[in-house]
Amino acid sequence: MRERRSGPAIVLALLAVLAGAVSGGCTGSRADRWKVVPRAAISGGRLVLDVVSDPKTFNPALASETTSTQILGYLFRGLTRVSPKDGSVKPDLARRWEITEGGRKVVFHLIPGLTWSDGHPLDARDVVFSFRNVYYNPKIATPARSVLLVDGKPFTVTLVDRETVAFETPKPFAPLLEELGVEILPRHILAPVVGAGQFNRAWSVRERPDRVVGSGPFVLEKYVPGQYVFLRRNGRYTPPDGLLAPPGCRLPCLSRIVLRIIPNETSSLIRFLSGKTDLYGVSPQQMAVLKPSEERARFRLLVRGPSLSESFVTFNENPKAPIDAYKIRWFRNRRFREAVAWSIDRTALVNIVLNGMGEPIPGPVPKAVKAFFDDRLVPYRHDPAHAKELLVEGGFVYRGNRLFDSEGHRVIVVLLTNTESPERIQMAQILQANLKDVGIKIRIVPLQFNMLATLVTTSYRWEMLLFGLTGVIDPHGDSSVWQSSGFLHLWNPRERKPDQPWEAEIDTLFDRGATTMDPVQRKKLYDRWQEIAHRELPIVDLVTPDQISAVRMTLGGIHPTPLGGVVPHITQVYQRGVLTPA
Amino acid sequence: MIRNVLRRVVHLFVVLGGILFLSFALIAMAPGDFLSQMALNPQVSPEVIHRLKTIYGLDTPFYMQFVRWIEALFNGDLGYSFSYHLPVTDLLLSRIPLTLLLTFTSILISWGLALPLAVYGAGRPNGILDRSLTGFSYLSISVPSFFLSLLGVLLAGRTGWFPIGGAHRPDWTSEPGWERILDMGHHLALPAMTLALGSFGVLYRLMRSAVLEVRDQPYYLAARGRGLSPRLLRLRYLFRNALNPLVTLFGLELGGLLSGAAFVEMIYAWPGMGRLMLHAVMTEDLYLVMGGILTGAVLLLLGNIVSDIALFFLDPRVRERES
Repeated sequence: MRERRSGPAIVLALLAVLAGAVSGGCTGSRADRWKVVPRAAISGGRLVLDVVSDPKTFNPALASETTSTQILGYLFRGLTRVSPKDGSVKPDLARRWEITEGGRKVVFHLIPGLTWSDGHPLDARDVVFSFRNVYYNPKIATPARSVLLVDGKPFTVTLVDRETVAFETPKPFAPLLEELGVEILPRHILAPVVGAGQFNRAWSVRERPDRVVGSGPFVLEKYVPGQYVFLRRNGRYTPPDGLLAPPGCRLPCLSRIVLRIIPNETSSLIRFLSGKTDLYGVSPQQMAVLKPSEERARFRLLVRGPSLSESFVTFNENPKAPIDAYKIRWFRNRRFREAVAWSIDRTALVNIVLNGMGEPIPGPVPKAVKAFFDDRLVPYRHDPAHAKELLVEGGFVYRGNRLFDSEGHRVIVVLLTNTESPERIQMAQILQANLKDVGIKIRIVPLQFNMLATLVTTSYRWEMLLFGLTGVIDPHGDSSVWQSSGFLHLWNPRERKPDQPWEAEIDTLFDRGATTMDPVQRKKLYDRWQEIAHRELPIVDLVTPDQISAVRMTLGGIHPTPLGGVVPHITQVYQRGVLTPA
Repeated sequence: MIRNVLRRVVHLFVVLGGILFLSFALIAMAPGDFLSQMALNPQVSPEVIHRLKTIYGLDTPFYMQFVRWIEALFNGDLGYSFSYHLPVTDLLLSRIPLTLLLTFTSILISWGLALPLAVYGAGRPNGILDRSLTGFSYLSISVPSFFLSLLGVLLAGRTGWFPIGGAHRPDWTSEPGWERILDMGHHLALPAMTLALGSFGVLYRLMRSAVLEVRDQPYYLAARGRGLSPRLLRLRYLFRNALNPLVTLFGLELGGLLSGAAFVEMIYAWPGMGRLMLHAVMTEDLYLVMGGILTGAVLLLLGNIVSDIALFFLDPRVRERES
C-alpha cells in the first residue's frame, strides 16, 4: 500500500506564487506558445522520470514497494498482462492459452523463439522454475505468494514441452489468468542461487547490472544509489502478440529511460516545471499550481477520470474487541451506519479536499473498473435531517443537539486515520463537522501507519477508521476484506462463521465469483455484492480522486487509460521531436 | 592526558552500550515492525507475513534479537536491511562519504566565514560591518533550513544555474578528473551553502561575544598596553582565547556530521545518509536504523573526545587541572 505524500500547505502556497516564474524561465526562453518540430526518426530518444525513492531490490520475487515494482515492470514480464484500457487479460510471454476441465486447467503456449536479455533461450522450463522453486518455495521471502494460492493450495505447474506449460487448480479459479502476470524468472541464472539458499539476497541493488537478466523491453544499465537508475533498450525484446508499434519504430521505441531519485515532491514538481522531466503524476491539490503554467511550461495536463484509490470509513463491529460494549452495539446497528452515510457531505469532501478533482462513490468497486462497477448504484446524498430520523428509528434519542443511546450514553466516537496523509486528516475534520450536525461527537486521532495497522489488525482497539485500501481490478482481490473469514474483514475479522445473513450471502457470492468463468455471470454475482454492501454499509464509501498526469508536449504514445495511467504500454512511448517557440 | 583519554574511551563504550540498548528497546516497543506495512494490504495474507517474520528473525523476543545483533557487531557485521536485502554496512558505506562531503564543506564555509568576520566585526562593535553581520546572523538563525532549501531549489529551477538533485551528472564517468571535481562542486554548491548559512549565524554570534569578552580581560589590555602588534594581538591573544567555547561546539558539530543535513538532503535530493535513515525509520528497518544510530553515536562521542583534547592544548587551565 502506498500513500501519496503531500508537502505542507505552506509549500503549496509558496509554489503557487513562484510556479509561474519557474515555468517560464529555466531554459532562458520565455515564449508563451510552443510547437513540436518532428524528428526524422521516432526510434531512439529517452524518457526522464523522477521517482520518490531508491529501488530496494532488482529481484521481482522480493519487491514490495512502488519504486522497485515500477522499475521491475520495465525489466520483466509475466505470461499475461492486464489491459489498462478495460482490465481484460492480454497475452504477454504467452501467445495464447486454452482453458479446459471446466476452468481447472489452463495450458499456455509461449511465443516461439523468446530469449532472455543475455541471449539465453526463454522457455517453459523457466516458467516451471519460477513457480515451483521460487514463488512456492517456503524459504523465500516473497509477498507474491498470497495471490498464487487457491484455498491455500498452490497451483500445479507442469511442463508440457519447451513452449507449453500447464497450470491446474484444485477448482476453477476465474482470476487465474490475471494472477499469472507475475514475473517469470531466468532459471539459468537463479537456479544455482536458489540451490545455494541465497535467493533472499540475490539481485540486490548492489548487483552488477548485466547480471540482472530479464525479458522486458528494457535492461538495467546503471544504478547510482540515491541518484539515478538507467535503463537501456533490450535489443532481444519480443513484443507480445497484438501490441502494435507506432509507424517508423521497433518496440520499444525509446532507447533509454532515466529515473532520477528525488525524494521531495516539491523539488520534483519544480524539476518538471523547469523542463527536466517528461511525466509528472499530479495530485488534485497541485492543479491550481500547474494549470496556469500549462502552455508556458510546455506540458499537457491529462485528467483521466476516477482513480482506483478510494476513501472510506468503517466501524469496529467485532464483539470481542476491547472497547466499550455499548459502542459495539451502536456500530452493529445498521440504522447508525446508514445515518453516518447520509450525514457526510461528499461534495464538500471533493471540493475542499480534492480541489473539485474527484467524485463521490457509491460502493466498493472503483468506477474506473468498468467491467465490474455497478452503475445502478448512486452515492449517498448529504441529508442530515434524514440521518437524524434514521438515528431516532435506530433507538437513539436527542437531548438538545446531542445524541444519546437508549442507555443514556452520549454518542462520542474516536476516529482513527493515518498521519502520512494530510488529505485524510482534512477529510476527518469535515466528517467531524458533518457528524456534529447530527449530534455525534467525533474525536480525531491521527496515528502513524504502523501504529494504526497494529491497532486495527492485531489489538482491535479502535472505534471508527478513515482509510483507503489498494484498489484492485478483479473484485476477487478484495475477498480478504469482504469474506467473513478474511484477515482484512476490518469490521469483524476472521469470523468462524458469518455473523450476519448478508455476510453469509457475500461469502457465497465471492466463492461463486472466484469459480465462475463466464464474465457475464461473474458481473451479476459481484453486482449483487455491491448492492448488499451499499445497503448494509459495513464500509461507508466516500470519494475517489481523479487521476491527473502532466505530460511533456514532445512525448508520443500517450493515451489516457482508466486503469494504467497515460502510458498504455511503455514500449509504445516515443519522443516526437523538439520544442520550438510557435 | 593519556590516562584521561583512555578513561574517556572506556566511558565511550559504556555510553554507547546504553544508547544502543535503549534505541533497540524503543524501536522494538514501538507498535508494529517492518512487516506492518503489509498488514493492511488485502493482497498479502497474514500467513505470508508470519513466514517473512520467521525468515527475518522478527518472531523472537527483542532482547534475543539485540543479543544476536551485538554478537554480530563484534564480528564487524551490522546486520541486514529488510528493505534492501543487503548488509547494513554496505548501505552505510555507500552513503556516508557523500554526507561527510556535504557537511565538511558546509563546516568549512561556515567556520571559515564566521570566525574571521566575527573577529573583525567585534573589532569595531556596533560599526556598520558589525551591525550588518549581526542582522544577517539573526536572519540566518531564524530562517529554517528546509525553507532556505526550498528557496534554493526554486532559484535553481528559475535560473538553471545549479542542478537539482544528485551529486554529479549521470555521464560523469567519461569526463577527465578535474571536470568531475568541478561537476561535483556544482552539485554541492547550493546544499552546502544552505547548510553553512544555517550555522553561520550561531557561530558568528558566539565568536563575536567571546571576542568582546576577551577584549575586556586584563591580560589582553596588558598585552595591548605593552604595544604588541595588532596582528600578534589578534592571533595570539584574541583569537586563541575566544576559541574556547567554540571548541566544545566543534565537538557537537562532529556529532551532527551524519544527521545534521537530513532536511537539506531530502529537499536537494542529495544522496546521503539522511534519506536512507529517514526511510529506515519510517519503515522500521530495524538493523539499518541501528546501524545509523551506532555510527552517529560513535561520531558524537568521538567529537566530544576530540574537543576535550583540543581544549587541553588550547587552554592552560585545563592542562593544569588534568595534570
